[in-house]
Amino acid sequence: MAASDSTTDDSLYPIAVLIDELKNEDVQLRLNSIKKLSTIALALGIERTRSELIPFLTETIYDEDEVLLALAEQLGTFTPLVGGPEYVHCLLPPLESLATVEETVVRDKAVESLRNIASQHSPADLEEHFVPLVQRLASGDWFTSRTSACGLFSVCYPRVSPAIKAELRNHFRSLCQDDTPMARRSAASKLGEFAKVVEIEYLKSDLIPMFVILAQDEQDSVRLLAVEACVSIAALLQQEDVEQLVMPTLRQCASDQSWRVRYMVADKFTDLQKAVGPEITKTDLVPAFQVLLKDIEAEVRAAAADKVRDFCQNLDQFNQESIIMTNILPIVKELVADPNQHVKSALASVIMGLSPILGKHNTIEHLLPLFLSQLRDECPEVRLNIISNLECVNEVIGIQQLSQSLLPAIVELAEDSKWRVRLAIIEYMPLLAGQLGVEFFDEKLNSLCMTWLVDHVYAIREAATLNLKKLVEKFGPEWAQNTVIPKVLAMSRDQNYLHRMTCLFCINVLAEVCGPEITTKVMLPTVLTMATDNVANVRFNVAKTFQRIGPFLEPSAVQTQVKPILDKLNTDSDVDVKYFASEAIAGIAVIFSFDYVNVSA
Amino acid sequence: MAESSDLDRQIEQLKKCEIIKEAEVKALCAKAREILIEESNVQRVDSPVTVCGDIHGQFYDLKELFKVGGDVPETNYLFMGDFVDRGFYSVETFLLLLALKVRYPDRITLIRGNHESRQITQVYGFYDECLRKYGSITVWRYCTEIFDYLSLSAIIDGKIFCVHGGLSPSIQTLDQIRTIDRKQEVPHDGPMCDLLWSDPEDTQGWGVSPRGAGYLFGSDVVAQFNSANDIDMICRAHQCGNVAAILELNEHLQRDFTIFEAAPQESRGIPSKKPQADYFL
Amino acid sequence: MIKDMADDEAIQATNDDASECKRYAVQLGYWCDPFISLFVKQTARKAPEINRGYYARVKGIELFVDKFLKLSGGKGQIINLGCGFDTLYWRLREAGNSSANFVELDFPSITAKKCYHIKKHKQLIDMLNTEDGEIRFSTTELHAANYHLVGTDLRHIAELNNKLTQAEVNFNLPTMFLAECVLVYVDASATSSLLKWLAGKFSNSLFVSYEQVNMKDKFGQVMLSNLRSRGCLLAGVEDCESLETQQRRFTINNWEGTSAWTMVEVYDSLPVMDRNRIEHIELLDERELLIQLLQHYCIAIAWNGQTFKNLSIAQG
Repeated sequence: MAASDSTTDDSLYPIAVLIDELKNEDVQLRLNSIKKLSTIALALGIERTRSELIPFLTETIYDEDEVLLALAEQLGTFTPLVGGPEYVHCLLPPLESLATVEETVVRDKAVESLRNIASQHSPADLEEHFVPLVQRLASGDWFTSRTSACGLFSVCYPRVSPAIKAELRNHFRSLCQDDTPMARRSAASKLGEFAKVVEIEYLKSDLIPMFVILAQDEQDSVRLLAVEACVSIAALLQQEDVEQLVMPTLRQCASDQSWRVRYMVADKFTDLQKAVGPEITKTDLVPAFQVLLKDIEAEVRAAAADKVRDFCQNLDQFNQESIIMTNILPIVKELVADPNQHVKSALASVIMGLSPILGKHNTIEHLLPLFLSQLRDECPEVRLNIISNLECVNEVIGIQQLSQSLLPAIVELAEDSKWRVRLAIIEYMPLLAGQLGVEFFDEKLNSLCMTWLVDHVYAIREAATLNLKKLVEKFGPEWAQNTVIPKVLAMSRDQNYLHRMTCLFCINVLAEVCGPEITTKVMLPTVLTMATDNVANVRFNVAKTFQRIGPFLEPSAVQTQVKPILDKLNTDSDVDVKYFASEAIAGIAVIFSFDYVNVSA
Repeated sequence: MAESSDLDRQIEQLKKCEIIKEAEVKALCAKAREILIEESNVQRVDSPVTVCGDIHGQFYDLKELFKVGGDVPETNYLFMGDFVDRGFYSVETFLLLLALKVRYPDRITLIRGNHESRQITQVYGFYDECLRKYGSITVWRYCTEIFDYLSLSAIIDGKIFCVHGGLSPSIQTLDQIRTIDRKQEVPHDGPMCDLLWSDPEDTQGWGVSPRGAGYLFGSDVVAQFNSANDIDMICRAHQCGNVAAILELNEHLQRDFTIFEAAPQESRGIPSKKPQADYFL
Repeated sequence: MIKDMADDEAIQATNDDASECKRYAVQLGYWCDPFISLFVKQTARKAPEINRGYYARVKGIELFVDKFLKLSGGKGQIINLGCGFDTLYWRLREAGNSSANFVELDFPSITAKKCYHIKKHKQLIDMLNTEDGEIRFSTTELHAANYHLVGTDLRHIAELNNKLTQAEVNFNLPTMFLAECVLVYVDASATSSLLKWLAGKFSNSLFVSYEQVNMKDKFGQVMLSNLRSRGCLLAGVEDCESLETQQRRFTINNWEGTSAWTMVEVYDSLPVMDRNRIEHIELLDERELLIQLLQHYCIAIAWNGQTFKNLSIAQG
């Protein structure tokens, strides 16, 4: 890239190349040249970057969106290359053009860069260069420039004079009342951040009236953005002002004719709750929440149901329980039987969280029946959500109580047609086993655990295998030898090779918890017989098992029983059997320092 | 052993739905070619084996399939083609299956579907996907060259004939399939095309296929073919729709047919681009 | 669950999608439209079944437009409801086959963009000109001699009345209403008021609607949930249960007569020569998928007065 041709002006070289590349037909080349713009600027030096490169870029803004996007991004980091904050304003012209193009992503990137460099301007430069740009965009002919303008108010407002502040507020107000919904939408979405930097008196006099207007916009897409602004605005005001200036509008949004607006209220509900404080929550939000939970649109109910736990948790301690019991829980009970599965599923994902709030007695009395009916819900997602959250109820009422009430339902789910539901149940077994004790477990759950071992879904068999290990950790090797191992070993004679392999997988993990004696005397003989299985997959898994359980075998057995069999497998006709046998031989040799030189050659 | 540990690493990477390097694809395809070139047009497969239909780049459904059916090499598999196109992850799906084939040639069998073709992959997404993920079409070229080496059919224990599409009026015996020179792009007509394109139909005899390639064949055609070749059953894919299903055959050829649901949303990665316009809006 | 919900915007985005698909099919040569590329940019490849489906849609609608223009003898007006970036006006102008007045309605956010594109392209503006006509632009509307582009919400009848008057619509002239994938996004009661109002206002008229049908079956339900996950709710889907419900929507709202065809029927009715030509543009792997798609869309027509009575999809 060095410009070594001494007959031409060296310093012109980079910009000439850039111009060439920027005019090239190939988009990729143009894109590349934009991406190395900073290198070119460095080569040119700050003065020529300002006087030649930036004007050149400003003039040539007509290109593929990809190129413009890259340019908009680059310019946001260009301040040092034009000479620092003192000269940052010279980046404004190209970014202004980019902020008016048709493609949204380019405009957004230009606005992002403008927001970044706004803080680098001195107050005087802000007023002289940046604010006029905002004003030009705000009064541009096309909605593209006006939508871009909305995002620039909050970054310059705090540092300009009162007179200019007043102008900016006026511009923002007219954007809130723009002809096109796109500009109004943009204004509504920036209303919250602008509100945060505007003086409280002007917030009340200038912006809140706009908020009220936007919240009544003919387009629901605008109205729902006003809901978002509502959260920010409410957080800025005193309680009585919230009551007077915000609540009427919020109430209206909560019963908006468009479900999307109501959805937005439901979706932001806990944010709103934090913003308005406990008193208004009690008087206003609780009734509103009740209404949203009963909304005719399922999406809205689901969004509200999703907030049940958080809303209840954030209620004032003083009357938390009474509000939940009298106002929320009766509706929750209805929602458990909601016709829409998204609603039920949203509720199921949070409902268990009410348990710690309400305590043991209320949980047993009121919540358990709901959990029970949800455990039997026709929708697997609902069942799954309940099962995966049993933990927090367990902490409140104890496993004994929990299992007594829920065990029948759990047993039913153990045979659920959806394997992910079965999987969730299996994962819960070790905990149940630990709490229930051996006798109860053997009586009620042991046979389930064995059935899962021959499930037709591999993931279930795999989980059931691991489950066995955890059970033995709880109940001990003797229990394993009496109840589990005989059944596991019987699987070595199953018709299906997949189940015969499950037998080996079980032995792999049981060896770790049963100790050398049981492993060698009880389980090893079965493994040895399986080395002559007709199916190669079983045979190479015998080899893998030898490697896995080697460390848990009595050394003499390895020498006399395992070694000869592995040697035999190492000459098997199947490639994979040979491979895994040789791996096992090498693995065991490391542990027991046997000499395998002869066979592994 | 360095080779197989390299391959094991690539398999681990592909299992995470991450692509491997272009140079690695090239080496993998070279090794795959060595193995596939030895396979017959009617590849012999022993039971027990689990037979699977179209995957179509649905990587997460393939993972789901392994969760239900078990992992390679523990479970033996026969995939009946259409590994690529339509889904977002044709590259990862095909390369994973191919890597497993190279690592465990006796445990997994891949036969060709009508989408394993240069022409079809340019229309249905695999071409674009390769271009998008590798920035050039080199990987697409490597893969489509390998497609030409894939076997056309398989026979399990001499009794169950497996093929992607179906039968052909120009084929009466398995031996006739064995004589096809398969190392070529799928032709527009003729026996090789028919094996990959035909569909069974609830009629008698042969009919014109609305797909524009292959034929429709009736139950009498199937009965005739089965008795002429002493087979019990024909197993084919090509029309699975969105249902994922596997057929587990144990060593006594007892059948266990499992239909499973598509992978749940939360177990899928973020799709690399937004879904296509599948409807008219 | 809809998280990123952008309201009507998701529905408005369907316009971009439809326009992109049309542009792509045009580019492959399915049909001729020199104007669509002025409204949307080049996009990713679309599946052959989508391209064929759009072909049937465009040709099916053109068939009724041609019949309407012939029957109304140059005095007809066309009102394109939820017009999006439809290029029909320019295609008709180019073919020397214009209607007396052509009015396009859509959300202001769409019409603003359409105005923007029209203003940007001389080729489009030039074709709006007539000898004496001036062209008036605002940010969301455009008024030329026999072309009016107007921003409105079809759910607000009073506003619609004003807008049509501003667009110089003559309620007594033969009038054709076009609605391509429009009513399905409007809830049934609003559609009802709209259709009733139109039936009362335009005594000599033809309504042509293209949208979903057979939505109660599994395919339909999957489509619903897929579209829902893109934030696109089919608020009027209850009328899309069958061809009968499609027709009943018109009859209960005072339209004198109706007919409806699935797109399978429409496709099969297109001239064999044309079908043969487009079927050779691309290989179609899954014909089942195309048929399934076509089974779930229809063209429904309704008429008032004698002029357009009993029109059908028969060619000619």
